[in-house]
Amino acid sequence: MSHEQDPPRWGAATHGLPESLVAGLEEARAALPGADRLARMRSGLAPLLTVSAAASLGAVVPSSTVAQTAISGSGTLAGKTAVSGAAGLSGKLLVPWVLVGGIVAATVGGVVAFRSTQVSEAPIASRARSAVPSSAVPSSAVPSGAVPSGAVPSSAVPSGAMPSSARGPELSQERTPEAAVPKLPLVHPSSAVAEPVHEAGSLAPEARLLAQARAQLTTDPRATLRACEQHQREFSRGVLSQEREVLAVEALVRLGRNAEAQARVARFRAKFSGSPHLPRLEALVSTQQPLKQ
Amino acid sequence: MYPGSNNLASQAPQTLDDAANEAASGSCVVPSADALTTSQLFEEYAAFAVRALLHLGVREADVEDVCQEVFVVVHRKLGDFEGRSSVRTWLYGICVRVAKDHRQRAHRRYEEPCAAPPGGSCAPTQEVTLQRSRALRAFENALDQLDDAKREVFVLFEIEGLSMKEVAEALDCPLQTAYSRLHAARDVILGAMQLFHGGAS
Repeated sequence: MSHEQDPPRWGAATHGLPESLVAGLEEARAALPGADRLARMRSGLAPLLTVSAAASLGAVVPSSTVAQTAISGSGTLAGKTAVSGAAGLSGKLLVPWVLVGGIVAATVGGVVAFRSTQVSEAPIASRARSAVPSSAVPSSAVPSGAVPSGAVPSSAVPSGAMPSSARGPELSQERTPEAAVPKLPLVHPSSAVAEPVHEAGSLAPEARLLAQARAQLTTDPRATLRACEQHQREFSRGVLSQEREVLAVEALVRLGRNAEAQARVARFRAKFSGSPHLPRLEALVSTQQPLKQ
Repeated sequence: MYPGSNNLASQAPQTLDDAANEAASGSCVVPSADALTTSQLFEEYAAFAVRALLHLGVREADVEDVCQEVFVVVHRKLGDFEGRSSVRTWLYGICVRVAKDHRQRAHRRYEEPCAAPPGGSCAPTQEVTLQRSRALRAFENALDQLDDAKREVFVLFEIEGLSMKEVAEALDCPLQTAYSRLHAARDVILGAMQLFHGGAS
């Protein structure tokens, strides 16, 4: 029953194996992913990894910081993943867990429990609104969830210089009229440059439009493309513009319009050089054979 | 231990120490699930998970998403992990199931509506010689000819280096079944690679 009975693994010493099989096996065993790929996944999983680390640290981490990390995770990721499975996680898997993370974090603190129930019950739009201060954090800053909020670029977060303890009352006012919100500029998740005011409540319609577009991708790529154009017109500075571009490129590839797809990827590369979507886009346009409709 | 300790008072702390030592060594031998975080598991196993997923038939362009799904599941189930198998075996079991789910979804998503899936081909990431990269491709094609059950056993044993006992645990099947799948898988792979040789020479 023990593994003494195991047959010896195939390798160069195995009698009668074709040379190419040995070489193929060795290559397969050596095919570990590069650091860049691991880093991309790590940042995609940042809410889980930091929440679990913070939860295990317990009292060492200031509770308000933990709760805030969890909330910002739900804000940015719900938005990013509601639409495309391109480089993010599939939303249905992640979102509940980020919410649970929020609840765990809140219990660790024991201070903000009431807030976490609000968060878990709120629809996406209002959750996004409540997360406005922290969704302005570039996604690259999210992995370091346990750092105090002062460590994020202060140009992106107006209240970043504020000690986190001072944030309690501010966040608890999340039900006040929207007039209080527009002061906080919303920055595209992967660009550190502050963009002009874009009401965070528009995330839901934006996400809905792109979800529709994606649903049609396999059946009617032209409709997807039209929806992408509509998105570009209506949400020219939308939070999900990267996701829109990914969709548009996929649609173009499916339509066999590879030159246009390549041009679009080139523009994307120029604009979002560090985007986690980029490798996938490049893989899409490097496909040798054009797709048949 | 303690010189001149013949009274009861000095024995009490000694037994307490022993109890503490026992507890400490116990938790070293069988690491409790509480001590593990998703973050630690990610750092230790993510690279292997990616390799396993690729050989279990997840395409290059999807592997990051799927690997993230694996760690979402890990995060969710970590509390239920009972330590009956090693963490590594447990994690490979999750990889196998997530990959299987993904293949079924991917089949619906990509292969029905269009002839060729997009993004299937990627340049080799390392400077492998042409011959070796051809061998790898032929090997991957051979893997594709295995059915799921055989492929899982073959990949976990030959590429990931699990023992057959661990393979059986990860796949939740009897050890004998795992052995017979391995033998069958080897036959298929060997046949496919000999064909490749025949075609190449």
